[in-house]
Amino acid sequence: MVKVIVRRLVELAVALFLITSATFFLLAAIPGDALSAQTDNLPEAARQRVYAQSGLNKPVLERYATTMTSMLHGNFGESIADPGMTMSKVVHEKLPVSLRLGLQQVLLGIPLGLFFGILAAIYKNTWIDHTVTVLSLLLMSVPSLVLGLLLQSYFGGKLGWFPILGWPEGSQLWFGGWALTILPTVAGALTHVATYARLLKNSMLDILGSDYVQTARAKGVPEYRVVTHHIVRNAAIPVITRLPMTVAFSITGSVFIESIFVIPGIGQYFVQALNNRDVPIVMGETVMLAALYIGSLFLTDLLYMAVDPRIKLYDRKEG
Amino acid sequence: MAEEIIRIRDLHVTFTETSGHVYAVRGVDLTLNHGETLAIVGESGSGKSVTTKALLGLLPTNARVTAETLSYQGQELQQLRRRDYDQLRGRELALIFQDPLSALNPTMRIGKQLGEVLVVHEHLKKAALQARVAAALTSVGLGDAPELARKYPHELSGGQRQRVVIAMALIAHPQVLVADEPTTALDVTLQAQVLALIKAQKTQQDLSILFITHDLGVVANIADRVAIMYAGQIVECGTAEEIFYHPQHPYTWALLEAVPDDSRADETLFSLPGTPPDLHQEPVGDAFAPRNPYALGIDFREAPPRTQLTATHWVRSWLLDPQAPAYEPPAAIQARWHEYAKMKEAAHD
Repeated sequence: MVKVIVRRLVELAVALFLITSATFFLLAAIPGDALSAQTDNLPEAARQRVYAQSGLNKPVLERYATTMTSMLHGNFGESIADPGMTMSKVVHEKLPVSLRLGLQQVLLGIPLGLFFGILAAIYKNTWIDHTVTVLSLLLMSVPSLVLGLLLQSYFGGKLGWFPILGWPEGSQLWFGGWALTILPTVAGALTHVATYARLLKNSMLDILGSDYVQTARAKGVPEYRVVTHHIVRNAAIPVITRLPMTVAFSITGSVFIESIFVIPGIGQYFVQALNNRDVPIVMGETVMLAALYIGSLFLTDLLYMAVDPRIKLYDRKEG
Repeated sequence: MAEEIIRIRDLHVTFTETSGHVYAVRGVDLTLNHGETLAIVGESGSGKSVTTKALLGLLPTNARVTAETLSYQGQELQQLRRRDYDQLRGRELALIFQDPLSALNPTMRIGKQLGEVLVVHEHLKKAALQARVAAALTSVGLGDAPELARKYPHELSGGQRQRVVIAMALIAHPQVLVADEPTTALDVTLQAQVLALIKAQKTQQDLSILFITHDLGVVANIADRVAIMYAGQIVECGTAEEIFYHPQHPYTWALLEAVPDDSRADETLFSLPGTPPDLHQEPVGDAFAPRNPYALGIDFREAPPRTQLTATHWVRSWLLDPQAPAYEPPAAIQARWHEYAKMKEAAHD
């Protein structure tokens, strides 16, 4: 087990190095930088002074070396475009917003998806199955951005049931202010409903036709117990192992939803930082997102071992 | 006459598929008597598995089952409610599947899979449950039962798995064991062991067995009576002796000639040309006629009637019709007839 964690950590370090380097040079390759908007109209001497202060006048490789070294020391630096903003502030102010949005989407979307998946599998080739299949295909094909806009215009605009923009703040950051969170949560959750309904239905159908389900029936196991003990249990393997990735994606991947609903989360701030060529924030967020993904991959491995006895990724004796 | 335990009369099973209907079983009559082993022999697709699945109520929903009688110990099964069928399966009628790996749930421990039968039927718990599971595993020759019960199917060898499957079928002491090609997926040495095990369990537990196979060689070892199936019908049925030494149907002849035999080791093994008919249409006349070198003109027009030869032996073939022309079976079959005559004489003396 220790060996596994060490191996994953080494992988994480290598991946982070490659990802941050690529991000840095890509940013450097785009015309303009964090200061161009503010300094374009300044006299040349003043412009030089501002650049010298921020260090942006140095050659690319030197800036790369400085950035990487300070990141190694855990210092991501202060935002250039948004003075006073640091990564620790991002983690404290922006991350909770995205965490709540992501978790709400997952908690709403996955159970619903699983429910419809089971229904569709049990009532295969009936109107229930057909409805679930068509709807999930539709929901999977429409980006959550479009869903968000549709929800906004209908439930927010036309019916006026929910506010269109914003997110609970202050004491309601974690709990409360539900009306504001409903539309963005639903917009993101619908994709999960569709994905998980399809996933569980397909894996259940595989298992429904398998010999060991017949064996269970031949043993006289009642049908509900066949479903709970033999079918769902085995069909859940691909579902469970996919959960960490979905959670990670939900937290980090709501960029569009955060943008159209003006939710001050890490996704929206990331896009803003990118537009501003705000190197410290972009680099800091990149590290954070990458770490989340890689962490969820590790969790996936662990879950695989826990739920499927046939899989031994690592020698158990080491654990 | 022994007590009838299973009675099947005029069983028809038709599957509805997107490509149309498949007439898988077309009028099967079967009787299983208490304490005997009846082998159902036929090629793949002859309907032998479908027949037993119909008996156990395990056919998918696109199968239509009709029968004049389909009964277990006098109890008609066709109108049985699902819950009552569940009560019967595993406790009274048990089934062993062909492939011992896919027949076991890959994510459930062996002990739990065996124990489930008792949990469902006898509501046993903990210690009592464990003791019965261990006893069942020991009775099929698996040592160190507690250790084995904690393992998963993929951690066992093929032979161990088949023993586990047999133990699981017999753990609730059923009356009838349906063995659906239990030796087909095993190599020859294991086949012999598993057959011996089934025979031993039969005497110990006073079982009646329906043994399905495509291999007559295996049948000789285990069966009291044999039913030969072709294209969804039983074409010949008799005691093992009658089928092996006094066979009357050309299809039975072909099957017998296809069994490897030491005394004819230097000859090329006989193989029946052609394939079984496509059952998307109900065959006209005798379904075997196109592959049958002994086929008569009438075989292609009209299905042969059932001819009863002895109390136990009957055949569906026009060859036994009084108006049929004279014919001569293959030499190897004539030799068998000859031996049969000698056996009968010896029995008279």
